[in-house]
Amino acid sequence: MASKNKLLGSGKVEEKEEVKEEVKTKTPISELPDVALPTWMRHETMKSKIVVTKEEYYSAVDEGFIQAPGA
Amino acid sequence: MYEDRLYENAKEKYNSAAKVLTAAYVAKASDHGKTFFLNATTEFEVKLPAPSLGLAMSFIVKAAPSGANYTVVTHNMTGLIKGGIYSCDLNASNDSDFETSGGDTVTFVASAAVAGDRVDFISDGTYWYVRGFCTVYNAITITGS
Repeated sequence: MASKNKLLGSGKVEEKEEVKEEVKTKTPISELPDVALPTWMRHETMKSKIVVTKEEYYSAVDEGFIQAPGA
Repeated sequence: MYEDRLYENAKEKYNSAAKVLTAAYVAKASDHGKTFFLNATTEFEVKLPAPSLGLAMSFIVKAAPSGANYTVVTHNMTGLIKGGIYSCDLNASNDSDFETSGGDTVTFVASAAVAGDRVDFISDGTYWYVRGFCTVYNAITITGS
């Protein structure tokens, strides 16, 4: 948390609202569980697809894809 | 400077390990390993990502739900949640909730769940397995499907 107080000419400090620092909340892809690739992914309403990278795999998970059984 | 970089790295790591939620939220795979603190006067729903082997996340009540329930639901509202709830309330006349066939919703019940009640989720790639702890009997339930 950083504050942006301003020093006034009178020597007083004008207190300003604290400025929240942007919080990084994403777990790095390298820290997500490893997965055997390539693999098939299935979805209830979309066409199945094959993914070949960890990024593609977790992007598909976020879209609701699940690793196909036996993949 | 080196110390600054160390501080930034540590801050980044710990910030990514927890998040305070004050409104409805759709969790993503990139929330793996995170603890969510549920903190609102108007309660809300959190949607889980699709199950994937090893994904895990936890939910802890920060502000006790009063007017409505906090809920954690599966991504497609199908019965993918299995597990049991454990309570400190040993004098309760009934057993705490459990689910072996698969529910779709974990509920932190209004006027029953209190700060510190929690549920941990981990996925086997098909289902989400949970263990929940609540102070008051039936303050956390698994329902649906």
